[in-house]
Formats: sequence, C-alpha cells, structure tokens
Amino acid sequence: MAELPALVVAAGWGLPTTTGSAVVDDSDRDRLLHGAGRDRLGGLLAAAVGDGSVVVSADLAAEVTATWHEQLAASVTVECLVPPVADLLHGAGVDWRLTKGPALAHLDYPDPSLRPFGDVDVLVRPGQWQVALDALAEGGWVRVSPELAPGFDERFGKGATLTNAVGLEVDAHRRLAAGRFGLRLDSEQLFEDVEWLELGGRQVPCLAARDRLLHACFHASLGGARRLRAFRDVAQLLLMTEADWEGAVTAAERASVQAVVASAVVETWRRLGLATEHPALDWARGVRVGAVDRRALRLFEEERSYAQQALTAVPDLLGRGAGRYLWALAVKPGHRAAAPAPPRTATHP
Amino acid sequence: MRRHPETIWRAAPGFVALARPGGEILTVTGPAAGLWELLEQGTTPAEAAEVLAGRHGATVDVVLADLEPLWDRLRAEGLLDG
Repeated sequence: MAELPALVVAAGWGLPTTTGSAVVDDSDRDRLLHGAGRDRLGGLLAAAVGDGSVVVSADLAAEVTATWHEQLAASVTVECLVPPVADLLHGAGVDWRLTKGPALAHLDYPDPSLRPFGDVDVLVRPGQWQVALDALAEGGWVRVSPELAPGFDERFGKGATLTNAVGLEVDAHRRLAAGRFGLRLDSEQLFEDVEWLELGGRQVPCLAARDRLLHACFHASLGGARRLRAFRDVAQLLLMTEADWEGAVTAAERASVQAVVASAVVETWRRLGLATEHPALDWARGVRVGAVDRRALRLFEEERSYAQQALTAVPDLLGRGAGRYLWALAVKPGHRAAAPAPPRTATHP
Repeated sequence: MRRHPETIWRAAPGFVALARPGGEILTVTGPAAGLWELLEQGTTPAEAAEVLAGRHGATVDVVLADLEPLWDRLRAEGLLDG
C-alpha cells in the first residue's frame, strides 16, 4: 500500500524542499495514527500539524499530540537503560558505542523530542563480544535467541537482542547487518573515532557522525521494514548536520559496501520526495551495483528470512569459513547434540 | 533547586516526561510542565510560582499551592539537585 502522504510530509518536516502539505480526512485517521505510532514519527507529525504542513481536525490534532507524548515517555523509559548498560560495559572494560535511537536523537536532531525511539542499540568492538554479553548478563539482560553456534556471533553474526525483567530491549551489535554487507564492513574501523554524549550523568561513547551516517544507511537499506523514519535519519544526517558524508562513502567503498549506501541515499530522496540537490545523491546515482549485490539488497528489501539474508555472505566466505557458516545456519541451536559432526573442510580455522 | 544531572527527560509544549535510571517515570502536563524549564537554571518554589503565574495569568498563591505536589514528587523521585 502506498504511504499516506501526510506521513511522508511529516517524515520530511524541517528538511529543505520536501513535499509541501497534506490534508488528512477522518477516513485516514487510523492510518495516520497507526503509521505515526509504528514508525515513531510522533514528534515530526506533531511539528507538521503545528505549522499547518499536515492539516487535521482539532480532535485528530489532539490524538497526534497524545501519540507524541506517549512516544516521549517511552523514549525516557528506554533511555534510562543507557546509564546502567554503560556502567556494565565500562565495568567489564568493553569498548563500545551507542548508536541509532538515543545517539541520533541527541546528536543529530535539533531537539531529541523530535526523534522518539523504542530500544537501545550498542555496537561492541570486535574481540570483546563475549565479554560484553557476559557483563550484560550479570546485569540481568537475557539473550532472546541463542547463538547459532559457539563463536558464530564474533566471527559472522550481526548481534543479539537482549531483554530485561520488564521486557525492555537492548540490541547488542557485533556488526551493522547480517549477511554479505555486514561481514564486509570491518566493525573495527567504526571504533577509530568517538563522540561523547552526556546522558544520565555519564559520558556515553557514541559512533562518530560519519559512522552514524553509515549505520543509518545500513538500517535504511538492510534494516527490514524500510520505514520512513529510517530514511529521515539518512536525510537528517546528510542535509541537516555536518556529518562527513564523503568519509562515509570512502569507508563504504573501501569495504565494498557502497551499494548499501548508494541505495539508501537514492531511496531516501525517492521516499521523502526530496527535490534538493546534494553531492551525495550525485555520487549515489553514479554507483554501478553489480548483479550479486543487487540481488542481496533485494533480499533485505523484501524482508526475507534471516537465513536467506545470511546466505548472501556465502560467496564472500568461500575459502574463509563458508562450511562452518553454512553448518551453523543449517542446524538449529539445541539440536546439535543429536546432529552429526560438522563437515571437515579446508576452510575450518 | 536544579535538575538532577542523572535525570533523563523529554519535553514538548505543555508536557514533560522525566525519570532517573531505575526510578519511576513522571509525566507532567499543562502549565506545570513549565517548571522543568525553569529548573534548568535553578529556581525556588516561590520564584517558579511567580514566573508561571505571570505566564498564565494566575495568582502567585494559587500557583504556589498547585505546584506543591509536583515539587514533592520531584524530590521523592530524586529528580532535583540542591
């Protein structure tokens, strides 16, 4: 189904040369509120209603405001997780970075209230994955899904979702994505720089702006639902901040993941109806995406299963652990005791 | 009185949500939400009542009384410093 125009206007609110305005009649009330709730666009939608970019009835305006307030309260609840998580990770000597929601809200939006979020995302430095998970487990964080095989996360995985006693989530990332593109981008380079954010009385390390842009592009291209807010984050970083987009492009090209960044940029302009020119868009339009990368991007775009997305890495892993990788994907955790031994191949470490 | 540096908060016109990690979340709506803005630079109950009364066309005594439960709650949740 096509995106509700009012949500597109809201997602582009405050950006240069976005779609002008939209009128929402009562028949679209549910779609508007559902979309704003699901995509956590409450702040941008309230701002668009406030300045008349989105025209709604007085009753619906009040519901939009209530939706925003709920999202703000939820953001506070979630953000309150960051200081204790930071204490656990720092206490264990883990090098890590806060990314996505709270980092973007505070560092890239003029007011964090414009960018509500629903979970906490942390990136763990290569080599420290198990130490980080052990530290978080000490603090009561429980892994939702078991590791596919011992050592799989560190070597191949995207990360793990952890929940606490009341069901709040921390997404611990070892990489920015599963599969081909996540494996290509060496997360170590995301630790070359840091930006500090004071949060709850702590100094919290965040991905640097260049790397927040990279992560926003990964999320927009590979993150699943490909919703408007993901593209707004890309636009926000490119058009409204001083993020080093050329540095992000250089890093992407060095890791052969330029297809991810180019796709995110082109799609951002299309989905938000941006008319403004930007050199990043010129670059993105000029990127030639090979057939294999194109097929891989499509798998993520179509929200195929984790296994299908993960399999996109196999061509890159030939001779570098493809057998072990395929074995881990094929055998469900918990069934290993009854399973035959993994095949011995020359690719095993 | 000022905001406690460990307080996490979000504000919108006529609304503020705030909490300390591990604590209860407190949401304030209406004119009283303006108190959180005043607490950025530091204020007292009397000063805040005077500012908010002027802002909303109310008498200082009424605002002072209206804000009392909020001050109590902010103190109880450890959201204030000083």
